Amino acid sequence: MPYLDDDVLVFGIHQGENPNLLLAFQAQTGVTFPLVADQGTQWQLAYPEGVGYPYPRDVIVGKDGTVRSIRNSFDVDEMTSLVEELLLE
Amino acid sequence: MSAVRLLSFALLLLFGCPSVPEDVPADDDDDSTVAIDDDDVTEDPTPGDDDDDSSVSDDDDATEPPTPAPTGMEILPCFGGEEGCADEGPFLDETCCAAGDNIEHIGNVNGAEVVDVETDGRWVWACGGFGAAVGDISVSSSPVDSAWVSDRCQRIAVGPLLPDGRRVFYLAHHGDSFVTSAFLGGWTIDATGGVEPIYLEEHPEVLFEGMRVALGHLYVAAHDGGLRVYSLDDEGVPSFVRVVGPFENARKVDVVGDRLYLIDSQDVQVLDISDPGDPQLLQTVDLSGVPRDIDGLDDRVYVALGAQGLVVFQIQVDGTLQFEANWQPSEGSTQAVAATPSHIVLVNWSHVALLDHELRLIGTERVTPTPNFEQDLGIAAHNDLVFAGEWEDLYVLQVRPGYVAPDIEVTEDLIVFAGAEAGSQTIEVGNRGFLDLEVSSADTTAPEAFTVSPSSFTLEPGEATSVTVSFEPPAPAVPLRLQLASNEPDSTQNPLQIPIAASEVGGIGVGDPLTEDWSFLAPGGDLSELDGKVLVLAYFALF
Repeated sequence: MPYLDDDVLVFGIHQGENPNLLLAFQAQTGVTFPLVADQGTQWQLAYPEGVGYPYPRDVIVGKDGTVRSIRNSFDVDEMTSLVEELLLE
Repeated sequence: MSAVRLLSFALLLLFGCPSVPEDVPADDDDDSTVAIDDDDVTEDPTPGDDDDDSSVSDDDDATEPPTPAPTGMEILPCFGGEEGCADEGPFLDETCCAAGDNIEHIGNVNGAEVVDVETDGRWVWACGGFGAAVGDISVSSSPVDSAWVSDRCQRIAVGPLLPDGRRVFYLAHHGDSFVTSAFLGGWTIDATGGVEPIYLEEHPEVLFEGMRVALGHLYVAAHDGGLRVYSLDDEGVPSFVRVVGPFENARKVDVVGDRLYLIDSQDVQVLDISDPGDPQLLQTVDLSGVPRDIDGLDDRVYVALGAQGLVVFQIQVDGTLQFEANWQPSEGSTQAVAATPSHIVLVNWSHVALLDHELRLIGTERVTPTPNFEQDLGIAAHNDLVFAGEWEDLYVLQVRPGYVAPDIEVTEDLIVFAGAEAGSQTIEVGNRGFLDLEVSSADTTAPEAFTVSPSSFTLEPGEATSVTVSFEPPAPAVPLRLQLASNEPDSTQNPLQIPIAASEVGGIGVGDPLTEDWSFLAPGGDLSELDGKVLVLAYFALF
């Protein structure tokens, strides 16, 4: 599993989903990262150009705790590239 | 007809560990399980591509020279004046094709947070966060908003047509933070658009999902609750019969003849419903991916498989499935599929794609103008009408066979100048249509800060080129966009606008630190516990 031994933490953040549905989703997809209920952070995030919706929205944060990317479209190549760049910092 | 999970499966590829599905009760015959081989995958067969035959290639006969790829007019779907001709010319040489848009937006039906769409050719239902909107499409060029049912809705199934002309339909919701009790409901709609409830089942433990009516029964997928079977009386009122399972995550279902096809976890389950009240499992098909939608027509079953595109199965004599082909979009993620005798329509998240039954991309349509973010989640089709459910609304499109056009596509939906610093960014612009794409103007909304090269160009079908945007700060306080004006027939993409991020924004944005409000992510509730870690935060919702 990529990045398992690296300093990368992944969280799926939802807005209060049906717990049974979350369990079904986890079973379906096999995701192993935590799915946690948001505590109001979604509405604090900026909407940069090209980001028009609260979700799906991916936020990547560097080791220093600063936000490095906010996007609506999950782009595997772009995320991989940025994560690897941030791991080298 | 879409079951969508907005948590990106890109994250799954990066960080998840797919679990091994439990064996589903089935016969021991190895032939009952079919797996898709990566060798069978075919990329979006753009015009001029050598692999325009989307079926599995046969390398056994190595003595004959390879068939040269079609070029020029040969790439057009109506080359040689065969099927699928345009209504009127002027016709392009050696074809019965004419230049023009082949999938056009002709109207809207009111909707909100649309996640599922169905039609019976008389009515169209758009199911979403504010209930089910019903539109009258008896005069197809002018869809009329007719009714609104329920507070929230996720799935629809069209039911029987009663002798008095009323149509029965069913809505389902699996429950969320707004709907505390999952429900399955039935309604009728009459010729005037009047709706009446006929059935309601509320069950906090059942995750009602995709449904289908066939052979006098209603079949309801219910996640790990299996497949729920209901018999229907003469008025379309359901009576519970049984649950079939176990299944891991049954979500969408379709029926062809007396065979039921159920998407479950990463499989398609094939069931014999020759005894409609007692389905029997025939086959489990491993998709090696997470299906979003399924549609069966004639002797084919079509599965929307997200980033892996569309998978096509051939229905065998016994109703089991044999893999036939895989078509992948060049952008987006296939969320839903609808097949008609003449074409296949997909919603690929950011756009609608029209394919012929040879899996050639005939045309695309964005229903929202760029640079707006588009979320296409549901699709239904009836003859030449297509109903695309986008988050904001339901769009009515018309397929125009025989018309061909250029079709612009770009590799980026956002151009970022990190830290608002000077520099250059390059994107790829391509033509996935059948005629030359002529970009007459490539510029920005802030020419005092940005330059674009080249400023105009022409792309033949299948061609692509690099476009470079250079930035010299400061950026003015206006919406920053790259604009590409062309002969692309879709007004939503002409000019095609791509946002440019080169200035500071309000809220916690790029370059800002996370605040203590994010401390809930730390095991001990202290944000400093996350120091030294790269964080990937995926904000998502389940529909």
